Amino acid sequence: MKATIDNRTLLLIIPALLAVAWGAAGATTQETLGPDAAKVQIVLSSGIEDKKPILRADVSMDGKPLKDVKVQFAVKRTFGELVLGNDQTLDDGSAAVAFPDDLPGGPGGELGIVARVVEPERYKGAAGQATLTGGLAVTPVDQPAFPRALWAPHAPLPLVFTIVILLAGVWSAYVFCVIQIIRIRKGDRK
Amino acid sequence: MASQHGGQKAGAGNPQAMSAAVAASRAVEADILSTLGPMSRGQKTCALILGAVCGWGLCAYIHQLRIGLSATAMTDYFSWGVYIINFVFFIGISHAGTLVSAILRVTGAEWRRPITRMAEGITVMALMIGGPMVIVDMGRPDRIWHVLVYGRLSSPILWDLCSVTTYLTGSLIYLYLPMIPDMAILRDHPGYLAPWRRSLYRRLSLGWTGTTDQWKRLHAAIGVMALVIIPVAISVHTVVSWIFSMTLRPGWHSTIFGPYFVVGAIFSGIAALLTAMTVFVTIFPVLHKYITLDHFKKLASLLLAVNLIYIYFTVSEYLTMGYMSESPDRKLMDALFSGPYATQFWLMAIFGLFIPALMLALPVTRTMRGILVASLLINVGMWLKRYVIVVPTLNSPFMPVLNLVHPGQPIHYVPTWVEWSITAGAFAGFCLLYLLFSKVFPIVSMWEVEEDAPAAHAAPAAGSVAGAANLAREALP
Repeated sequence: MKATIDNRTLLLIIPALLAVAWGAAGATTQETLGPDAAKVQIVLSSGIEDKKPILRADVSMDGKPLKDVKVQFAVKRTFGELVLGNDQTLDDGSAAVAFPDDLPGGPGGELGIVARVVEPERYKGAAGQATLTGGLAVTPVDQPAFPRALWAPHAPLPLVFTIVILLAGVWSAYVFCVIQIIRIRKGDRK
Repeated sequence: MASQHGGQKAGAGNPQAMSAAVAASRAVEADILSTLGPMSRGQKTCALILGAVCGWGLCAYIHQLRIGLSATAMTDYFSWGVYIINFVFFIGISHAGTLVSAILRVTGAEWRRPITRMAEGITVMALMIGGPMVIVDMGRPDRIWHVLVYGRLSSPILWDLCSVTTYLTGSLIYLYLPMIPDMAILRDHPGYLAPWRRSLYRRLSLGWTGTTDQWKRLHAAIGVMALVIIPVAISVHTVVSWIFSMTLRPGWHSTIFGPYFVVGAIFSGIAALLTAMTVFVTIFPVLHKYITLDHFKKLASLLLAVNLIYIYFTVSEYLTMGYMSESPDRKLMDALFSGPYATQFWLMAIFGLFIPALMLALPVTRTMRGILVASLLINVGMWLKRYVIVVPTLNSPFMPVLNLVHPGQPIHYVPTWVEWSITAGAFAGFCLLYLLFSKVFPIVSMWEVEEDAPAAHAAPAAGSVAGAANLAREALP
């Protein structure tokens, strides 16, 4: 039996090796959860306390409130989460932090709020999230924020035209050569 | 055989001259086809070693994919390392094909004929290895998609992607076009050929029979490509230089970087071609008939001219930088001339520029061996030059360095085993691809050499430079 690897097998082996390597790399970056974290439920709500807006998280497991659990509140931003504060749950399983009134939100002031258990280790990583109103209403502006410029997301039109014309010229020459190749082939069949 | 058809038409002109031309064509074909025979023991050993190094490089790359760029010595300060040095180096030697084949073809230098295929081969292989180096440097290969989707047209990175892709496509077409008649010769070869070879040559020859129409179209396509590939090649290395020079960093922000890089690329390209020529005439002594000392000397003269221009650019670059003596430039020049990078800089300057220039200029060292030594020194020197361009500048940022790992200590870039392994794999891959190419395809263009053969010139019936060999092809069964 010949111990050789043909091209087709190689084409299968290489992506498989890459996939295994990728999977192994991904497995090492997963966050570890506490043993009971999956059973914990966190319900988020907003309210007023002492005339000030607050964010409230009710932490429970199997329908029973969990006390002395440290909860971290955060708001989702474009590139990550902005931590708003931490609080320990009371006997009724509730924890609360002040709800800032100057965070830019969606068109209706919507904010993506996340509450995550930090301590104890048993429940660590359990999280709940909700979209709550209370942020500043920000309406997206349709017009581009920047003019066309070299430093801006959109290149100046003269540069665009130059690049397009140059590339079109070169690729047209390639197309011409490919047409010649096709005609050389067809010439044989006449 | 495509060129053997000439025997039927030979009687139309001068029969004696025509038969001499056909005999000369057959001799050329026999010589060059002998290089396609089975690999010798030494060649097999060489291929195995190169394959093993390549495999080791691939393993190192998989390791890098698995744990990320932390496997390299690159940091937030040294965002580029040996991968980008290799990229610039390989793009540089890819200019061999452009200069020797395209420029000499356009200018009508007939002596280029036996070496054009080698030069075009270097271009394609170097681009196939050098281009992906950028993806290796990115760390996440899937993010090349992001460059395509989110890339900004005003970014030299996107220009680079466009120009390298365009250059590789053009080089493949330019390599293939002059191979069509040779593929037909191989297709019709009466001796034994493995079935896969026969099938490959049949497909690549496109049913070539050497009709006047086919020759006309082939010459038109080669002519267009020879003209187009020159500005494309120049644009590629200019754009590579712009990636550096459009960054506000000491040592990079220079207006002469475009031509400086292009001359450097042609410089290393000719040196790479001379090295390849020496290797091939050593492996296949029969090629001595076609690649003579005269070819080496002519290319050595070109190399010397480009060498002197490159020295001029280098002196001009550092003199203006040193004359202004702005503090970041001063710091960079101190690092290069007498600091941590002095060894690399002076090795590059002395052994990569000045000694080769002397060797190429002095008659006593203008021998095949002397030219080979000068070419090898230039290749190593040009790799070091790219190191000297990339690393010391990254070590001299405008903002103060904040070394969090060793507070207060200067920062260094010492490539890891992963980077060296991938680099070794890339060089081995280039050599292996080139070796395999030379065993599957004729490394010397048969029909171009036949056209230039003395017997072809002697055939009055042909009435052109192409001579009887050309006339011979026009005959159809």
